[in-house]
Amino acid sequence: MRTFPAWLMLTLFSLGPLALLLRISMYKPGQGRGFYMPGTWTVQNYIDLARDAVLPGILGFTLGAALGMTLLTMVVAYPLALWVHNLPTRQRPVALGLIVLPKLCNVLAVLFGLRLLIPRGLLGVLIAEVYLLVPYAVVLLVAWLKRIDLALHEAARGLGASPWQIFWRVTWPLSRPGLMAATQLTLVWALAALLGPLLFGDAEQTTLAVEVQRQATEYHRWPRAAALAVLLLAVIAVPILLVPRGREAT
Amino acid sequence: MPNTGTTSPNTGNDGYYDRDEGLAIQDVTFRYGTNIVLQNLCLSITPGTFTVLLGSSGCGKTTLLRLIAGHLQPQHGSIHLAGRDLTHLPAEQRNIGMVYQNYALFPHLDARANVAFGLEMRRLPRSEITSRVEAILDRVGLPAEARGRKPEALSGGQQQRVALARALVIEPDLLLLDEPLAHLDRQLREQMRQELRTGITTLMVTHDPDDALALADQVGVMEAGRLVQWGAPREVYERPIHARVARLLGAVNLLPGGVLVRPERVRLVPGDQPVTQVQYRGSRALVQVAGILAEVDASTAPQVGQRVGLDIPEAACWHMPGEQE
Amino acid sequence: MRGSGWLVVLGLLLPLLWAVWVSFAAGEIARPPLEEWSLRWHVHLWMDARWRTALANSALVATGAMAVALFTGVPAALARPRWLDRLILLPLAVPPVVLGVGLLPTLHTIGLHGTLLGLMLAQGFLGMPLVYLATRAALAAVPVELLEAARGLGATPWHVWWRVTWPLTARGSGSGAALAFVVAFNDFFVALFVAGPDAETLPVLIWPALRYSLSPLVASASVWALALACCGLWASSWLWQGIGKST
Repeated sequence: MRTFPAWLMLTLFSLGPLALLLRISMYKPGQGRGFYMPGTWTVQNYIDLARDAVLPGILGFTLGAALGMTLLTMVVAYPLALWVHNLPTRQRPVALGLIVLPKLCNVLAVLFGLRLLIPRGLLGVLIAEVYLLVPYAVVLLVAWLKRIDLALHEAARGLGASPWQIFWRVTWPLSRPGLMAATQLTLVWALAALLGPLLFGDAEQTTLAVEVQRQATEYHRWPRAAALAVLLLAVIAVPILLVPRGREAT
Repeated sequence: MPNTGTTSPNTGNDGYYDRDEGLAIQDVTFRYGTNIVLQNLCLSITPGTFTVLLGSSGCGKTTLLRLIAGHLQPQHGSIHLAGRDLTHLPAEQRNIGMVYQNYALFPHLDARANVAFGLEMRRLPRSEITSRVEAILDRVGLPAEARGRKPEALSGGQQQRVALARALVIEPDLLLLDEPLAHLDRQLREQMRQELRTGITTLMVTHDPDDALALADQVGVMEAGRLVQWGAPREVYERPIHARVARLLGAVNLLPGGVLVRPERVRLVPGDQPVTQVQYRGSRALVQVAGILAEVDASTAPQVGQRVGLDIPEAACWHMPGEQE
Repeated sequence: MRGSGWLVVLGLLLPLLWAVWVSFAAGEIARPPLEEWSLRWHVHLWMDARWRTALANSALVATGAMAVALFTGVPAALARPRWLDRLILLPLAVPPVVLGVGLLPTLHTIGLHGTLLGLMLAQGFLGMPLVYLATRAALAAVPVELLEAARGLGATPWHVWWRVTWPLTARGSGSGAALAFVVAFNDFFVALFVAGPDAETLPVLIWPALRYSLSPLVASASVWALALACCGLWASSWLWQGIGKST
């Protein structure tokens, strides 16, 4: 009974929308300025997507860019997480706080600064998204690294291992599962990348998410946007379902 | 029906209880998951008496208290108090006072507010609450300057008094005490012991035999969720039904054939057995000779290595009716 | 090795710091002021009615969202059913665009699309996990005997919560609520999909400016949002300090 509000919210804002999305994706598009024609049912929207000439390109770019973003992000985030993990206990929350600060702040502030600093184009898109993805990845990795027993490190040092050896023989193997989980989650976010491509990308750098947003808010073609969103969800589901991992990292 | 697993003296319940008074627990079973914590327990307490449940940790005594208080529900059995059936009554309606092992005082309220809590729940007028709180704090002996302090600013003994006052002020039908003296030092413990006897029907749980013997009108010995012996303190001390009960209440000598002799009944006489160990305890000393413990007056205790003999009077031997171990 | 980590952190913060610097530009172009520092853009922000309204809206909506997060997160943390532990982070873990696209038609259906109330609900949804987690942690620090003692003294479950649990966990819940406020104030994605002309919050105003013109005004708005985020974070951690003390 106590959980009724929370339950209501979750249904209202996740399961409900999902069902609604599916429903809307099966409306006929409205004529003229209408959003959709109420009371209609059709799978035409999906057929249109399958026949769309531009969509494969968008999908391809989304996938490729996502892989690139994920790779870059993990290349930055993993060493950074290791560094945070090895900091003296006092400095750790400070460092973590600073890394997370941009996320809690207005994300637009970060993007504004980036717009002034980096050029547009593919590179800009990648760099911008990396900025957006790194904080999450670092938080996940640090949480995972925390679980690695400190005693193992000390034991290794006591046995005469150098810092490099400790990393290679102890830290790296034990952190691999965490790295997998963090990479998987980062990939999910990267596939849904919206802001980076939207602000920094040219026409060639359109991701699926951008297309969804464009169809929904600029063209008001809700059925089409909904169908694209369903497609996006399917794409995101792939990394989640493919690697059966429990969310042990948090 | 009472089921204690062995033949035993009266467990205080012959399958009949006096409905109008006191605490009666009938055939209570409590399971936690697959663990059977309490098994067909029967217990009956005459009103106004002080009963102590003695047992080592894990025997289920604290669980029983929580069951009586209403924080746990038994899978089977019934609980009656002062004529009311409490078994399915919510905890807040049972009118039972409880003192916890670490007092469970509300940290955000001062001593007075802690004590007043139960009265506020009963919607008494403010003036009556104030006078009753002051009266009970006088009775337990909490100095006036301590009454406005929060628990963290009170000493262990003071916290204990506040906890007791909080339980007493609601004029409960039953008082439950969960190892109330556990955290106190020896001197304070002896001082507080007598303060626990308030005239209210009381059930106290402890693993300390000194508390049991000093305070109880009746002692119940618990083991693995069962009541294995029940009787006056002297009865349980001098005539335990088996060795484990005997050990719970003090040092013992176990002779072959299930015979028990308490060390203080063993006398040292001239002889040729060497003394192997002497444990000095102030006024008494525990002397070990030929595997037997004897408790003697410290001023006449022998040294290690001295040769003595043992005299064990026939009257001091007790044949345990229960298991031989 | 140690120092280089801080350099990376600095690099991550660079865009933010740059934006702060630019907000003090004297001219029209979004370049950091090298000679002359000026407050003109900050003044402009507060003078402009539309931006002021947006700021006020953001504050209003964030407060409402915080309330929603409290009223849903705290009871949920008290009840703490199994399935909720897994799902509670859903709002934060789902890519925002999915959330946004889902919210748009939902709110439209219940008629709240484009309204401040709809925004409050949606952003409260984002903050709910924060309050839930914070409250749960605070609850864990309350020994169960306290609650039992209260019940034994005659307190109904409501009274147990109101007189014992809440006083002891309020700071924890407050800490989560402060974070929920910050998240709601700075939220952009949800606002992008849900807001309308009657319900403009700060990010919604910044957005077109960000896409089409890069003016120091945007920098100024960003700076104020940043300042608020820092205040919120500080308040949250200050409230959190008290958790261990009360027992």
